[in-house]
Amino acid sequence: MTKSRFNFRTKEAITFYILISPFIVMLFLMKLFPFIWGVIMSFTNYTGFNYDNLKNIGFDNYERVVTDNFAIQSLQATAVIGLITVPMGLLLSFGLALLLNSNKKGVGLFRTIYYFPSIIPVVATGLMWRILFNNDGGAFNELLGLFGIAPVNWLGMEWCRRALIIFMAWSAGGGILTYLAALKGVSNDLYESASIDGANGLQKLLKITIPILTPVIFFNLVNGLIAAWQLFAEPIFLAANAGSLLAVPYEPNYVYLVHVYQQIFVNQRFGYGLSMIWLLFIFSIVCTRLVFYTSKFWVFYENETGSERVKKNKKKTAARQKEVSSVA
Amino acid sequence: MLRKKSFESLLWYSTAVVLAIIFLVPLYFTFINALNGLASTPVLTLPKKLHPENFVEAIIRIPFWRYLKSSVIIVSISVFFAVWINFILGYAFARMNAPGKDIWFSILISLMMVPAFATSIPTYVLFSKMQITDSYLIWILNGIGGSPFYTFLFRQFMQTIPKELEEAARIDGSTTVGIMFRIILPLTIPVVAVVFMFEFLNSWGDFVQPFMFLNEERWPLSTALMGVRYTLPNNASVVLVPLQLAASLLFMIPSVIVYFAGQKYIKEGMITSGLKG
Repeated sequence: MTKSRFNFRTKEAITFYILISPFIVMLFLMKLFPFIWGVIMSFTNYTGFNYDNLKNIGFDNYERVVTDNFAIQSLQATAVIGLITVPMGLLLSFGLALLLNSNKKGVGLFRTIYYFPSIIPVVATGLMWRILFNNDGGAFNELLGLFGIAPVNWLGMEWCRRALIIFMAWSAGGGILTYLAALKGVSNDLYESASIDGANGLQKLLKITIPILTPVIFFNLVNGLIAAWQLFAEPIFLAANAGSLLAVPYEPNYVYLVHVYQQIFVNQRFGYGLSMIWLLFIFSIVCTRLVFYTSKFWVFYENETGSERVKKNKKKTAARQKEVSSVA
Repeated sequence: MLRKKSFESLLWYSTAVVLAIIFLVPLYFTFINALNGLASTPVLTLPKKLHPENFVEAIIRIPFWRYLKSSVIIVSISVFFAVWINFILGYAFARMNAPGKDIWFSILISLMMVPAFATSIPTYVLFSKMQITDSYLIWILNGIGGSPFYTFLFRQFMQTIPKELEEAARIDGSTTVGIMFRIILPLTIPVVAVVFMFEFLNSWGDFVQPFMFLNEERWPLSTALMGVRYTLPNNASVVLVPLQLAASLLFMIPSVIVYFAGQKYIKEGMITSGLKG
């Protein structure tokens, strides 16, 4: 009996490893190998043709990044845009989800409309916005004209960052679904007992909804940060000379990854481009780590927001509510 | 009390409608200007004379079918692997026990935090060094490796399926493969639908990877549309805005269809999966 049990376990373990073997193989082949190779190459003067006589140049590439004005400026641009778009995305998604967390008639239609921009490929929305923002022949300037406002050069040096922010705000609803899922999971009992205790809407929002939703806010914040560092598509589409992946946006929208693409695809400075990539990677990881570190101060895991856990806890919560209200 | 209720209702609807208008305005402008005459100035209301033929023009003026073929190949490969590989991985992580499982799972989860550029760009440099360019191999290899997020969705969902079902089948002599496909799969359809939908949207819209790994003749619609400029045949500086807009609307259609078809599964497939962070 023990023997057959042992056999079953071994068999199960073998099956498990057979099933996940594609993942393991590709982890080494397509993730770790290019990664390590890329790190090694970042310490060389590799430019595509000189593979046979590569020189180890130590940290030269990295030093060059730090002294490369375009790299530093583009990093600043990325950070500033991220500082605007990440909170904006969080607030917009959260606000829209709050609005949509209702039983009113037609709520499904509104959900579809708000989420719609997030499902359209950025190629389509990028083309669309570029044309709408166009200086002559753009619908936005026509619209402004109705109000007597002179046409704005949206894609020009002065306005292009604002245009980018508008574009990104429009498609910032991607987090709606996760917030809504979490909101649906919040037990109604909590709100009811809070109402009995005389809490108003704002108090309920601050004391119940937001704390319970902190894990989702955290999830979206981390995703937003990771996405912010690798911002690339939107600025490219709004670039004045758009029409290729290698378009060069004006300075305010010249983000870090655009500079990297210029190095790698235009100039074939592979070693240099890769060292830029690793610096961004470190930035991104450090940033995510920091947020993870702060999470223990503001993310509440004891009240898991999932409908499952809430259902399990519902009885418990109800009992606790009774206790609380009886004390009150 | 009733008054307060109806006031609240009014407030809700007016907010919702105003927001909906803001979200729809760009799409509305796109739509009506796509129907505009080629030489006309942009319009803010439906043009007097509609030009639905712009949509046909947008197709026949570019090698549309060649681009579409490549899109179809990329989407098919991506979706096929995304569904099957992650289904299998999800099953292994949700339902099986083996030494080292937790370590592999935490590696998988931490891969979610790795930005895409950190592997795609070195892979591009590596592939161009090995001269494996202009092939769909990269989509196959990446597909085989699975996607952590999809695996996670499958695993979370499968964990909610009662163990007894599986044990009963095992006693009846089912193999692991039999259990996976005959018992687990039918119950996991919502996640299959969600993964299908996400990966479709993702691969249909991806323009960066094809740009890196394929030559221009094999570019899919996404990458090609980026560079397409509809201009007057005798004057390349005159951009035909209605055609550009028509093309971008045409490009949205498959995404929209897939989203509407898959929408009803999102609730079950994602929410039950416990995607709360």
